[in-house]
Amino acid sequence: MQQTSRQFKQNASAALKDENLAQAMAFAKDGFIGKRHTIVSGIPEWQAMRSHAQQLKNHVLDHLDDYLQRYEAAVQANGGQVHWAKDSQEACAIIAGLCMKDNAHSVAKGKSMIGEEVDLNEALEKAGMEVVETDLGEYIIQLAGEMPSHIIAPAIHKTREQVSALFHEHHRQYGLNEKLDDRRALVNEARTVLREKFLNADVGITGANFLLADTGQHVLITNEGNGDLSSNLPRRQIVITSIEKVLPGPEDAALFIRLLTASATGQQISNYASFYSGPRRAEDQDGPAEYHVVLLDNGRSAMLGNEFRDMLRCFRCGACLNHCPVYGNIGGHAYGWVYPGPMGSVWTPIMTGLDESGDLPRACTLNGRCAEVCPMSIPLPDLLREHRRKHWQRGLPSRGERLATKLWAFTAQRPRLYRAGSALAVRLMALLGRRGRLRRLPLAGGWTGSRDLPAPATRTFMQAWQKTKGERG
Amino acid sequence: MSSREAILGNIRQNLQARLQQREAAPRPAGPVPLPSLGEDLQAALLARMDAVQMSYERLAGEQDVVGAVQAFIAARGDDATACQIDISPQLQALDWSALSGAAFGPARAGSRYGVTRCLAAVAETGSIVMASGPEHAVTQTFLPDCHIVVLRADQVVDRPESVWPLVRSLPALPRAVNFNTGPSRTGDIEQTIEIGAHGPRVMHVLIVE
Ligand code: SF4
Repeated sequence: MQQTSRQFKQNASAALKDENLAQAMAFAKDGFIGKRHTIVSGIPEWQAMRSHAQQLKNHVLDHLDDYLQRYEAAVQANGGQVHWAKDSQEACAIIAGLCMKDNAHSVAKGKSMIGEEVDLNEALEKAGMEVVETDLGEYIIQLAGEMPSHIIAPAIHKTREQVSALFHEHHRQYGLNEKLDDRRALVNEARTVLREKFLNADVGITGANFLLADTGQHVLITNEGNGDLSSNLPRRQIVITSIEKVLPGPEDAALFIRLLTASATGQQISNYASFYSGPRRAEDQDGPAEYHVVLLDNGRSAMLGNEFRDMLRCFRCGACLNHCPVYGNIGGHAYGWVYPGPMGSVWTPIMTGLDESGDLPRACTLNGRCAEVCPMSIPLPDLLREHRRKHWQRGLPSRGERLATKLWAFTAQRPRLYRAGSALAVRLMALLGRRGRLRRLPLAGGWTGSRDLPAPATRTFMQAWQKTKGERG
Repeated sequence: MSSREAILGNIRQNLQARLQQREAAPRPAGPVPLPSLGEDLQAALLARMDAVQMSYERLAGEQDVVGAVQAFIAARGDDATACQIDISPQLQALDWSALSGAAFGPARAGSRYGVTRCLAAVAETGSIVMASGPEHAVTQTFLPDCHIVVLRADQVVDRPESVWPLVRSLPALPRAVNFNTGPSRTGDIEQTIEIGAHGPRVMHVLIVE
């Protein structure tokens, strides 16, 4: 799907005017934040668990070549195959090739962010496959022809009415003509339609939350059970995943699952935590005849050596999105690519370049909530600042912006000039402000064109400080 | 050069540059600090099962399993002689003749009830753990509308970590080890939980003392 990060500002303005989005996001905010808070505040060991996981992941990343080779050997010992893909194109080509073997034509797909990253569905459809997303949220956005707007709740931006209209339009072909309004009825209808797809699929494709070097297993964390039907019913199983997801063994996965599900949905464990390895064994009663893992790099190996290395600990829980005031107001689509919010503002420029997506890290308010809640202790604001620094160094900001920043730097280094200037500015802005908001600011249209600015206090901090000091004597 | 070699080479090169500046991170020592579970594992398990909408009942012995399954089906308003019941071969030794709709083996499309044993139950999370093998099909726990599990009281373990020694004691690594924790659910419409997305709508545990 076409990336639109370049138009971030226009996207964001449009999002703020979208009433459906505002309605849908209102449901989201309380749910995720409240559920996470309830579980995390009940675990006194949370910080210690977090730091253990951080250390373990750093250890694995520092020995990533060893762990990946051990993982590969273990997968092969289980009878599975590992395919390495340098980039999106190669990953898509490998998977399309695997799908088309012996005239297979239908794919039941479980939710995978790596699948979104490489735009797998488009590649498979071009190759003539019928691809059905089976996670309810992914299914909804597939029908709508959209990108996910949240990494764990892809259809978070859709209202029930919108889902109802989509089902009504697309389920008629199965003889389901009634327009449903009730949530449960909508879930049931999707279950009925998708059950047929599972039973008839030739290939099952899912992502993986973790890969285990000791056992060659991949771990699949879901609540719906769609990933498990995709993993067990079709005769060929393909796992699309990326190189940083490896952990030593299943005992380690237990800790990471606790951190992931608590941070993502406030659950102690997801409904289904499944450990799969290789194809069906000789004596087994069910399971796929073939098991393939596609390991994607797509720039990750380079991150091991640069300042964005910490980002490789990210296991896609979504907590940083849920706690981000910018994401909460504009939703995921405004970011223009598959990864939104704080984690997306770090990943997207790494993968698609600052020219394309340099505005993402610049929209951040640096309030720091994302780093506080991140279970993998990723210093998101620092990484965003790093992008901004690079953006500046490469001369990407507009001339006006560069001039204004230089002017500010010049005065900031001269205290008397700075104090006089800010006192004047504060008085001017107080005159312009209405009800505490500035809608337009002369010479700063680039800023206020896409946001309101809180009107400042009527005194500068320095003036207030002097006055308080004077009062206290 | 193959992509495998290219990727591994790139990883090594970037790690080397990095590790010239500092030591490689060691594996953290010591056990993971975890919240306590209390003394009574079974009580902890039951509390978790309640929290994730699993139902359960206690049975005095294996001889009561068939009767309990029959009663459960009747209580749900189904006719045990007419609806599709798929029973795991693990339970073949019991006398199922009273349920004429029952078949042994992996679940079939349209399955109403799947009845299985399990490997363990986890007190910390309320999970029921199953391992695939000649006598247990994974689809048995995902296709049916209702999953009924037979759990022996001595199969309760404290934490997910404790499951793995049990798995390693099996003759070979099973293709699938599933931790199932309550009926299938989704929050994808209006972020409001609905039960019964793709997996079972009901999960019922028969705890055999
Ligand atoms: S950056 Fe942290 S909080 Fe955000 S998705 Fe990744 S792991 Fe979760």
